[in-house]
Amino acid sequence: MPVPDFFSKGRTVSGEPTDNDAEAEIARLEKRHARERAARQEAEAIAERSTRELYDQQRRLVLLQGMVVAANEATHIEDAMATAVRRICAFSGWPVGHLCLCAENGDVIPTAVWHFNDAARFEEFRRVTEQMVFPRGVGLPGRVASSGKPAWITDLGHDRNFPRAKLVKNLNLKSGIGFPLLVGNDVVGVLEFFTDVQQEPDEDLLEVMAHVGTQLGRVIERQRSNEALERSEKYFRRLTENALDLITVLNADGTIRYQSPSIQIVMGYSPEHYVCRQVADYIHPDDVGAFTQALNLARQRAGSTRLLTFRFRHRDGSWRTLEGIGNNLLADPVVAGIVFNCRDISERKRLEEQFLQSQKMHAIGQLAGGVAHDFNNILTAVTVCSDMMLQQLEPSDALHMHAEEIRKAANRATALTRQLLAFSRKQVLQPRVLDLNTIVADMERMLRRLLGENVRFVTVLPPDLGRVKADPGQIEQVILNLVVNARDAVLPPVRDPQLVIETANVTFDRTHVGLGDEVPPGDYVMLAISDNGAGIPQDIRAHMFEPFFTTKERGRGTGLGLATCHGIVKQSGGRISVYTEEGRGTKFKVYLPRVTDAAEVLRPPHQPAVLPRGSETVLLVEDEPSLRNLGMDVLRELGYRVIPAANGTHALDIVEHDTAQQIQLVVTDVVMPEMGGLELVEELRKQAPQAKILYTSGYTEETIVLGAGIAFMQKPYTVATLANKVREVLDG
Amino acid sequence: MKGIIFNLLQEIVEAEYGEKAWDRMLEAAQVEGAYTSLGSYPDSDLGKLVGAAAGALKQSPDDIVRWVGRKALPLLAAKYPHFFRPHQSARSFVLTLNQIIHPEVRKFYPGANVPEFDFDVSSPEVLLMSYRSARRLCSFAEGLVEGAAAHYGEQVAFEHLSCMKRGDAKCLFRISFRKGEP
Repeated sequence: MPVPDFFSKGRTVSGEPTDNDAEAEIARLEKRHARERAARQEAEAIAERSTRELYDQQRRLVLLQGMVVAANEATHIEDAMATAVRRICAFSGWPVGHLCLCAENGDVIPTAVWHFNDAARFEEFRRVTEQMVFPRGVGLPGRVASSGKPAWITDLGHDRNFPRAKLVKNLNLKSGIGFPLLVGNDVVGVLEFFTDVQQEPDEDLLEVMAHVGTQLGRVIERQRSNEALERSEKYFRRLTENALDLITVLNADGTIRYQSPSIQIVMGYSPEHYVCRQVADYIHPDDVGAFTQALNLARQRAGSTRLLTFRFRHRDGSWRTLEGIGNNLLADPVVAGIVFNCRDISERKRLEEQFLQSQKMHAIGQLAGGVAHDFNNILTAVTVCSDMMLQQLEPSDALHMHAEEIRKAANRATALTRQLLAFSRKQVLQPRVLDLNTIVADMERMLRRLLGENVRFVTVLPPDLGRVKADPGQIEQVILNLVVNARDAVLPPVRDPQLVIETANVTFDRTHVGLGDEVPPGDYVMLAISDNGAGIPQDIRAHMFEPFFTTKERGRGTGLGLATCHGIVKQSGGRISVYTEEGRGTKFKVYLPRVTDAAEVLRPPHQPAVLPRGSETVLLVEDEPSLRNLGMDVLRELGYRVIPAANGTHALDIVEHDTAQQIQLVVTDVVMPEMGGLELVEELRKQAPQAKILYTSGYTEETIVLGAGIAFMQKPYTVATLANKVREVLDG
Repeated sequence: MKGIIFNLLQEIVEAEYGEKAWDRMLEAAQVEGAYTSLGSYPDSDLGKLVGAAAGALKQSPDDIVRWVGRKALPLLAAKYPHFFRPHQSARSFVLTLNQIIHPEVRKFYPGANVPEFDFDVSSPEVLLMSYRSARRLCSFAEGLVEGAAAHYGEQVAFEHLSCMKRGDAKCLFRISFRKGEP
C-alpha cells in the first residue's frame, strides 16, 4: 500500500527540521502521552471493576457451591434449606431468613426453618409467623408464590400487603425480599429475608437469589423424588420383611444370597444365618433330589417358574413342609438370582392328615357300630338261650358244661362288641355329674392289683377338683384302658416302673394343639395318666387311636383300648391329648368339660342271687323276633303278663284303651323300623301315663345320650340283667 | 467495539507507517484515540478511522478494512499461536472460528460481540462461508481469511456471492484455497 499523503503531512522530506516542526512534534508527543495516560487510567479502572466483579462472582459461586454441597449432604429438605437460609444471610448480610413451603391448595405455610443473627430479638416474630398461613397473593410469601417472581419491599412499615407490618416495625426491620423456589414453573416454596437497613432493590442480589431459587428448587425436586423413592423402597421392603411367606434369593450355584426375616419365625434361625450357605443343606435328604432337579430346570431358562413342595429343617431339628415357587431371574440385572417364594404348609398338611385320619376313623366307626349292633342282637339271643339252658339243666348234666362254654363265649363277644360300640361312639351313655377324684379313688384298689407290686402307683387328686358330666361306667373304662396300656409300657426292662394318675382343673385361653386332639378354649377337668415307660415311637403315633391297631404281641391286645378311650371321651364332649418321649415315658391327658353342678352319688347296681319275679303287665317292643320271643319267655317265666309288639306302630295298634290302662311297664328297643322306642313312648304317654319305661339298645344312633333318670338296658343282656332291671324299674 | 481492534489497527499502522502516521490518522478522524484492549468503544470510531484512511489513501473503506484484516492476522498468530498451531491449512483453521476461537474471545473479552459464521464443507475444494454481524465488516473477515491463507502458505480466491451491505440477510463467500505462495 502506498504511503498516504496526510500521513507524511508536516514531515520535511529534505533539509533540517524547523522550529515549527519541533513544536508540532512536541505537541504530537504530548497528545500521544495524554492518550496513553488516559488509556492506562481506563485500563486500571477496568481492571479494578473486573476484580470487584470477580470477587462478587466468586462470592456467588461460593454461595451456590455451598448450596449444592449442603443439598447433597442433607438427608432431608429441611436440612438443606436451613443451610441455604444461613448461607444467604451470611452472603447478603441480612439478619433474618426464613423458609416457607407451598401447600397443595396454594397456601404458603411457614416452616420452622429460620436463621437469625439474634434469635432472642426475633423470637416473637418467629412465633407469630409460624402460626400464620399466607394465601396466594397475601403478604410477602403469598405474593411471591402467586407471581412466581422475587418481590422486594423497600419499606416494610408502609407496605399495604404485609400483615406482619406492626411486628417488623417494633423490631425495626426495614426491608424484605422474598424469592420463589421453583421446580420447573411451579413455586414449591418461598425464602424470605429481612434487614434492619432500608434498602432499594439490588439487581445483583435479585439475580443471585434467582439463581439460588432455581438451585434450591432443584434440590427440593431431587429430595422429593429421593424421598418418594425411599418411601417406595421402604414400602416394598416392609412388605417383603413382614410377609409371612419366605422370600429367598439363590445364586446360580444354589447358595442363599438373601433370606427374608420371616424365616426367623418359621425356622428359628435369623435370616443372616442362611446367607452364603447352600440351600440344599437344609432340605430333607429325600427331597433334595427333586429340589435340585427343579432348580436345574429353572436355571436353564430365564423367567421360568417351578412349583415345589419340600421339607426344610427347623432349628429344633424337626422338618417343616414348604410349598413354593421358584422364578429364574438370573438374567434380570436388578435381581440376578433365582427367587423362591415359599410358605410353611406344615399346619395345613397336619390338618389334611388329621382330616383324612378322622374320615378313616369315622368310616371304621360306622362299620364297627353297624357290626356291633347286629352282633348284640345275636349275642342277646345266645346269652338268654344259654342262661335258660343253664337254668333248666342240672349241673351234673353233660350239656351243662357246654351251655356254660356258650355263655362264656357270649360274654367275651359281648365285651368285644361293647368296645367296638365305644370306639364308634354309638353306645348309649348315661351321663352323671361326677367327681373324677371319687372315680379314681374307688378304682384305686383294683388298679393296684392290676399293676402289681413292682409298679409304683401314685395318685395326685387335688381336693378342689371341678365336676364333669359323663357316664361313670365309661370313664372307668377309659381309666382302665389307659392304665392297662401304661402297665404294658413299663414292663421290664423299664427300671423303677412308675404310673401316676393325677387330676387338675385346667383352663385354656386358646386352642391347645399337640399330639392327639386339638383342645378348644374353655374350662376343663384334666385326668392325666402318665408312665415312665418306653414312649410311643414316632411312626406309630398317627395310628394309636385306630381300632385294631396294636403293638402288643398277638393275643394280648385287641387294638381297641385307645380307640375305645378316644370314642368315649369324644362322645362325652372331651378331648385326649398325648405327650410322649421315646425312652422317657408317655402322658395321656383326658380333658372333660368342667360343669358347675354338684356331683351325684353313685349306687352300685344291686343284683340279687335269686331272680326277682312279678305279676305286672309288661309291653315288650322288639323288632328282632328271636329277642322278642326270648324276652317274652323269660318274663312270662318270671310271672309277668307280657304283650309283645314288633315295633312302635304295631304296639300302638294292638294296645287298646283298656289294655293300655293295665300296662305297668314298657320294655322297648330304641331303634326299630316304622316307629322307634322314643316316639312310641311319647305316644303311649297319652294312653298309659302310669306305665314305666325301660329302653334297650345295641346302640341308639339318633339318641345316643338318654337323660338322667331314664332307665336303660344295654344289649346284649342276660336273663338276670333283664329280671333285675325290670323289677328295679317297676319298684323305682 | 473492543479496544483490541483499535490496538491492532494502531499496531498495523505504526508498523507500516510509523507512530506519527497513527497520530495523524487519529487527528484526521477526530477521535479521542485512547484505546485500551479491555475497553469498549463506539463502532463509529472505527468507521471514522477507516474513513480517514480511505480518504487519504483514495481507496474504498472496504479495501482499507480488508487490508487491516490481512495485516492483523500475523499479529494475532504471534499473540495467540495456540489457535494456529494445531492446523495444517487455512481451511482447517477457518473452520474453528465459531466453535473454538470465538468462545475463547468471549472469555478474554466479556461482552465481545463477535460475528457469526456458518460453513458448508460438503466440497473439499470449495468452502462456503456465511458471515452475519450487525457491524457488517465482511471485508475484515475476508482480509483475515486472506491473512490466514498467507500464514499457511496458500493462495485463496473469493467470490462474494451475497452481501449484507447489498441488503442480503448475510454475506456468503465461496472460498477456494490453493497450496503455494501467491
